[in-house]
Amino acid sequence: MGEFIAPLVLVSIVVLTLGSLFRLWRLIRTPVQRYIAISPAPATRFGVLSALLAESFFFPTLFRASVWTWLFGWVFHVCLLLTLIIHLRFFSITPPLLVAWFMPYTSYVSWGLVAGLTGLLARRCLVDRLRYISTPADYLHLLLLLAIAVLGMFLSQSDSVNVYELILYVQSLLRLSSAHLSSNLLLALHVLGACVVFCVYPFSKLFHGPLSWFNPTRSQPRRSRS
Amino acid sequence: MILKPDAMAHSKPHLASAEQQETLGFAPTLSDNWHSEAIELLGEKVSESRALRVAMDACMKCGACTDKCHYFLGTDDPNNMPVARQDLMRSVYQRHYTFTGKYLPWLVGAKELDEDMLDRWYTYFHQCSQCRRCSVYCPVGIDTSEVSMAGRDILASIGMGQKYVNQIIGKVNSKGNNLGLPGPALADTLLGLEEDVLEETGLPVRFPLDDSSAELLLVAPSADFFAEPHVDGLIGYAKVLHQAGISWTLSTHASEAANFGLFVGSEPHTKTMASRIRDAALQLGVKRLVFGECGHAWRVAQNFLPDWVDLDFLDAAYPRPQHIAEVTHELWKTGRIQFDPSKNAERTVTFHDSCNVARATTLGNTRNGHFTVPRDLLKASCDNFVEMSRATTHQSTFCCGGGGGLLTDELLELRIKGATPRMNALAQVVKEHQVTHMVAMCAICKSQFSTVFPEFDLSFDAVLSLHQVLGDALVMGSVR
Amino acid sequence: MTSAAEHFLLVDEVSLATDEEGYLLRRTDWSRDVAVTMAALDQVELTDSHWEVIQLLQEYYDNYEIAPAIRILTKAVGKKLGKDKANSRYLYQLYPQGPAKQACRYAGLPKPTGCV
Repeated sequence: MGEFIAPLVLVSIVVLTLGSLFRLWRLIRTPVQRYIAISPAPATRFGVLSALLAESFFFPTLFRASVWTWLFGWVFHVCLLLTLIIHLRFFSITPPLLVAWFMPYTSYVSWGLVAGLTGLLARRCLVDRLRYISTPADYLHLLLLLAIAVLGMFLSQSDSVNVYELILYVQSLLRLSSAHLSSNLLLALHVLGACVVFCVYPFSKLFHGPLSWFNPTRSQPRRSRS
Repeated sequence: MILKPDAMAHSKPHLASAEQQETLGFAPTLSDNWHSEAIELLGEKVSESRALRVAMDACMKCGACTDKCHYFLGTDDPNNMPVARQDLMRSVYQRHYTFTGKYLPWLVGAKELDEDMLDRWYTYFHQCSQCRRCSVYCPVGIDTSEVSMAGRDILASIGMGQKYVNQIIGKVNSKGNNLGLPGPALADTLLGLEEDVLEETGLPVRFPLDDSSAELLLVAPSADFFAEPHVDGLIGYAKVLHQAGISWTLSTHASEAANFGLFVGSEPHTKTMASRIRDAALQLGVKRLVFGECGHAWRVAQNFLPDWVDLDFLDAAYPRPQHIAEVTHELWKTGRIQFDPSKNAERTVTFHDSCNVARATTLGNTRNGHFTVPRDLLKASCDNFVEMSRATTHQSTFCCGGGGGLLTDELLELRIKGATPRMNALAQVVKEHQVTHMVAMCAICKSQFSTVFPEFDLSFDAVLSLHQVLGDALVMGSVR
Repeated sequence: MTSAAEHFLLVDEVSLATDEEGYLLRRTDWSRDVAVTMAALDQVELTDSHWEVIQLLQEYYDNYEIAPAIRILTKAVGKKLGKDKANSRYLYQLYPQGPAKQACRYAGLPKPTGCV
């Protein structure tokens, strides 16, 4: 199965990287027409940066707007971040310290991931206002992520994957070759799902994170009056 | 809340006539090519504006904005949810400028700009007052006003301009102000005000016009000359400047602070109108430029004007345009003027933060000056000051319901419904604290409230200009 | 969405062109019957007090090419009809849709535009 998956993984990573760079390049090249910061804006560039960092890690704006969306959205994003960190264990036999730290909590994190996504999906289905604005893509994004998360949860809790073999396989991918990987349908689907997300990410609304850093309403500091 | 899709589909402003369109350099009517013209313009606009690009690309449909727009709250029409309003443009943008929209339109909800969609653009881009309350709650800060401005500019360019706004831009270009008030009428009006104030105070408070010996040019919204309670605010400015001994003047050439070019999203028109102010200031040789109580004028003056025109001729101590409230605040802080709150003892006031001042500008030199400056002044001049619910003031203030070029009679139903969230907050303080007046510092807010108040069992004159309250409490004559 | 030329007011079997909101396009079309017809459509009966305001508006317009500011109007009303009537409350009683707009329409003058 290793030879089959390798090109998909490699191609999707290329798409993810080039696509993201293209999106950012196109955005940065687009001029900021006018001063449109929402006031009161931070007084300095450092202040703007701090506000954007705080926004990226804690979603204070969403909290003010809708506590439930914030709860599900924040839990999802935090667990996604932790999940990605935990996945770094598949890059080396001895996991880095940070990764080793989080590994014991893997099942909590995956439950959090599933719970957050389920909450977001439930809101989208149950709240009239959200249903009105949702397109098939909006549901599919959530369903896709949910499927990957559920598969990942199964995989992490079963013994069907030989972790040692998987690490050697991932390391071979880094050398652009493909080591042996025992066939495992669930793992194949999990990886395939991730590949789809990688390819979709730069060209969809999933790219909202990087874009939010460049929005003139939030990225322009208050102007001096003298 | 039960959604009522298309409940407001009938509400749209009158179209500009072919003549009104051509005067502003827009297509007189829709041409046979309107579709391709619109699509091309849309592509240009997105590639020229980062804010618009983010709006087209970054919305994750989280729904945070859905219950934040006063027009949605007042009409229950889901098309007035900010995200749905943006979707009118986003779906067309996707259809023509994104891969998924082109090849899998059903997946992302991409739509063609057909006649029905064009009608929706005209209808719902004119149900946005560009107040930006939704942007405050958007996790990625999408600015719906940028979308409705771009949408209106495209509509106007292809032949579907709005009568009210077009007419006004035309009048500024020809007469110098929104009303089309000619110089002699303005002079006569100001003379009348001098008589009134002399009668009231016994003091020769002047309302100078085109006085080239003045050091300060005051640019007021023309409603300040014409309507109530606006004119009482103008009297307030004059009293303050008189008492402080500042030599000032109004200008015939720049007898308008408002800039409706902003509402239609047309940068050339906004710039041309803003340039009139600089030309007048240069011609009169003034050293200070001060704006009266007009919300979006202050936005243009503070955020755009210094980028567009050279203001080097201004005094080094006041190098940028100032707001009259800042001037009054500074005079009061430094003890050059004083207030006697007993003069307003009969009033219990609350303050309506105008959207453009609250979310697009600052006053004074502090982070929250645009909230504290008017409140400091109100509290100093009236002992009975009450705040409305915090969820409806400061950065979260609700629009009056008439901003962004919607202050026209044919949109009255929308304006009344859109005012409801503000009116509910006001009704609460009227009931609990016997508030008698709501104070505003924007010409549109004042006109809108005096029109819709009777619909909410309030008298048309329960809205006051900030400088009316200040002027009434101002200690006049030789007090020092 | 109709263009301006399609709107008419029928006065004594003569149709006079108006804009979408019922303001006369040509001032020369105005007669007292025009005001009476417009008022009847609003279910208003024009009294002497209404006519005083209409006349003041027209006189001012002849001089200045614009309707008078509300302060000028109230002052003029006060001079003619007594001080107790020199306020906008009185004018709003006569013209509840707003003295400037409704009275201008009856007087055959264009609608004041702007933030008013």
